Amino acid sequence: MHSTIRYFISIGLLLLTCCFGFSQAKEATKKIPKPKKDFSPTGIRVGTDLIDLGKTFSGKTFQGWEVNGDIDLANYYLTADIGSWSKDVLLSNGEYSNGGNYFRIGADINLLGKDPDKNMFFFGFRYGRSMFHESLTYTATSSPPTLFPPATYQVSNGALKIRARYKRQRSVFSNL
Amino acid sequence: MKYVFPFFLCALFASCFSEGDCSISATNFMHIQFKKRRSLKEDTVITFAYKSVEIVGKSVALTYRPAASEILLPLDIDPSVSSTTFIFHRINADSSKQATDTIEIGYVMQSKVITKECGAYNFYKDLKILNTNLDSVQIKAFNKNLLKDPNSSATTAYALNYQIFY
Repeated sequence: MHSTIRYFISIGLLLLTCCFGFSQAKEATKKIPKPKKDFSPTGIRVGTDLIDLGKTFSGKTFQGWEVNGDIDLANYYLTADIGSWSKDVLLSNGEYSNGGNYFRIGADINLLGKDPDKNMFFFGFRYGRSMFHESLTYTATSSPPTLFPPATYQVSNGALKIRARYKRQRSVFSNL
Repeated sequence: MKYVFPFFLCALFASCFSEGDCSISATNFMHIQFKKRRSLKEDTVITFAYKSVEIVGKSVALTYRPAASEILLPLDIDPSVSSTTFIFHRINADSSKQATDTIEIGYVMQSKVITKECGAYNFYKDLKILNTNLDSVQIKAFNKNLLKDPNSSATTAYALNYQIFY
């Protein structure tokens, strides 16, 4: 009888020890809470397309500009572009011209956010809308010309709208 | 061997800058073919002599001599009109009596810029007969657009638009 009581006491102590050990192990593997992402922006980037400006100032047939801007929210970037284009083309029998304004908005994510060398690999999307117009003036001739004299045509499309969505990816490598 | 790649690049860019030929398929000429009415099964082409073809609103009349099995008729290039009326003054087959046929052709004109160097042209499409004194069985429509082979000036280089059966 006495040995039976000792036996149960031993088993009880063993279970108690196990429970105590498990609870300590649980405490040891408790995850350290991740620091909250800081979504406050650290800067604004503003840029422009220098090729458009160069073409505008160097020639008379093209006029265009574009301004790009983005703001960072952790490794996310909100972006916006706005621009304008117009082009005149002198044809062999007339003139064609078009022009319009457009904007794009979207977001990028930098997939190399923790890169120590500050390399960047962006993936994102854009939503864009544009309004443009085009006009064509030309002279049509017929043979024999005595039957139908040359006729001048004026054709135009005004306030055309285009909406577009697309994905884009680009890379910025700091060591290049 | 080391010059092969630069040579290839030069050839590639040189080909990019070469200007293409202006192959214009636009025309204002309508192609009409004449067929014998009583032998539709045989599909016989007949020659037909028009004394003259008058274009309504124009002071000049076209003459087609000698007799031809197919003719080209010019549609008006005035952008403010969308139809051209032809009056055919023909010699009746049985006698020297003169007969007159009238056909008014309606169309839609579309302006297209081919290239900067080639310029812009009118393309006539959706041809349809608006008015005529001919029977409906006398006219068979083919191509509704005016088109021509830019490499040829022969009558057969123009897309066939109508067959008229006499």
